[in-house]
Amino acid sequence: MNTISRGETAYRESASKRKQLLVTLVPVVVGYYFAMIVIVNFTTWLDGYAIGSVSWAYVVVFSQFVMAVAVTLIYRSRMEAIEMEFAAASSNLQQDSDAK
Amino acid sequence: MSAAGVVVFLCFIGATLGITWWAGKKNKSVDDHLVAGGNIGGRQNGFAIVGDAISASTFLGSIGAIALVGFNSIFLAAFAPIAFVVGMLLVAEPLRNLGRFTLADVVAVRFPGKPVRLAMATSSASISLLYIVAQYVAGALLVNLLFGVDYWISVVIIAALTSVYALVGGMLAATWIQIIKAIMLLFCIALLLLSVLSKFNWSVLNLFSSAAELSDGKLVEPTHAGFLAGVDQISLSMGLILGVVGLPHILIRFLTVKDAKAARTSAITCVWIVSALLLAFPVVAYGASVLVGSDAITRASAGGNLAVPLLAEFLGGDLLLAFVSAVAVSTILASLAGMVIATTGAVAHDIYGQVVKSGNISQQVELRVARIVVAATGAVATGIALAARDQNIAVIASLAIALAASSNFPALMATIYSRHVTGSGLTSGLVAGLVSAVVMIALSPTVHGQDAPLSLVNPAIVSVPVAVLTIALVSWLTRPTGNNRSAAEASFEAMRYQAITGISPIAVPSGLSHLQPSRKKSGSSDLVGVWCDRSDSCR
Repeated sequence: MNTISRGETAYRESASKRKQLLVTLVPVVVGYYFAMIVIVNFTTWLDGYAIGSVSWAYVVVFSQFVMAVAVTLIYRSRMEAIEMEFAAASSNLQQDSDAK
Repeated sequence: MSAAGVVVFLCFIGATLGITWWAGKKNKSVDDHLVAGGNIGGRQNGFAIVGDAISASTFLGSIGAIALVGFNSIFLAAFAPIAFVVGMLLVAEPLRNLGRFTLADVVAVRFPGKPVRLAMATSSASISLLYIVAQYVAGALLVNLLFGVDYWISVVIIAALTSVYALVGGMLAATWIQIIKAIMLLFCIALLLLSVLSKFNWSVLNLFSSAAELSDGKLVEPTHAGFLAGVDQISLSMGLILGVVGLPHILIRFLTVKDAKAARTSAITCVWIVSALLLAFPVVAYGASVLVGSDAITRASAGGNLAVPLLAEFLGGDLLLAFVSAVAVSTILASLAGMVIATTGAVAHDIYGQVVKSGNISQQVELRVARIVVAATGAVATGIALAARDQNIAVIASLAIALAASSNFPALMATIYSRHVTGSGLTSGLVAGLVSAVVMIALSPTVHGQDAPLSLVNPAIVSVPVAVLTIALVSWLTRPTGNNRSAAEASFEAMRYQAITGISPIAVPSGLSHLQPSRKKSGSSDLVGVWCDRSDSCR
């Protein structure tokens, strides 16, 4: 494979992995939040108490804050891995080019 | 106003003016003025975004509403972490890699024509100006309530201070004022949280039980107000989440850091802080319900906006009341400083520099125009705020956030992610989003009360799809053909490359050179052409 097509492949792979990450995480975050609002407003599933006088609705609201923080951690680690792979591929291409 | 209140308030004002004077010495170019030279650190920017985004209505209004109405009011604030996660995933990094000073700069990377830039700049300036007016009115009413200062004097003081921050210190001053505000807010909420829990044997369960007993469970359980109210709640959440991701003063914060990684760090820091803050909101709110009482809260302010100051007075006397009041005022000033800079960028850089002068403008002239625009924005917003004293602030504020959700957000998403969008589609979508949001609010119960022609209070559930469909339809009708289609494809690919790598499409690695709309003959190495990284002279 020549330098040009390898460069393009590295970029395409990086872009594809980023897209895959977004396509996974965005629906999870948005879906979780709006599912919570729909359930709270249109059903009585979360009306009861979970612990003491803390309702299930509060437990779910608090859980989405935890979910938000968890998504930031997953996103950061996955993006760092994707960037490192792309940087390594670019660095190899640069060395090949310099050698020529 | 108590003596303690005067001292705390003057200390805060003195500190902010000191920061402004310090930042003013570094505020030499239009780059410094609008984006602090891109030198803000990721964590610092995360704190500044919190300072920019958590307005007085979120801090005082949400807690007051939970204290009076109960569980369902938490949705007035609970959207914030989700909004910033969405912002982190979809906007922060591409924005940093594509933008220079404004949102229109981002769009112009792909659609360099004047109509698109003008539409985006007009939308951004309108949203920011509306928000400034809403904050002036809300801030002046709050200062009037807290300190007993006349409304018009309060407006003038707030306008003068925010204009000085932006005029002298630019984005650097705004950033540090926002960081200080965020730290003060965190400290304030932590102090209130611990003080409240100390009254309930350090048990959150005891507090919730007391709140439940007080109201027969109504304060802590979800309420079901019917189908339409549920739909309105979904529309409100949609508008708030997408609105935050479309607000110019929030988004330009991502242009103040050096690279995409720092932009990511900013968003992550912001999500963490906001999530921690919001976990404490119900505790503080129920503390106010139980310790102060809903009657006392309603007597002070019908909407519950003074629940937090009343709770502070109950728990810590004049000193804590003074501190909470200073935090409340700092929330307004910090948010306003960012809004003024956002308006300035849209008018001075986009409309005057790029549309009127076609980009033929020196840095010095653009900086001078930017400073004139700061003063003009302050004067115009002051005039409107003085005239709008008796207007419903909710109308102005909901209009601003609805416009951001219905115009800027779809336009940015289409620019960054849609291969098939055209410049005409984008401009039409911006206009359709603006018009549909304005019309729906004009016909809503927010303006007409119970006799409103439309039952929905929040327009986003209709206006956002209208904007998206308009972009799609007009883009399809104006789809390029032949060579134009190839050029449009190449333009999209070049923009995607810059959005992901931060490298300008002026030159890309030769492996991607076929993607360039007009290839530059640089005679450089096989791998790298003329690299134009955002951190160097290409800025």
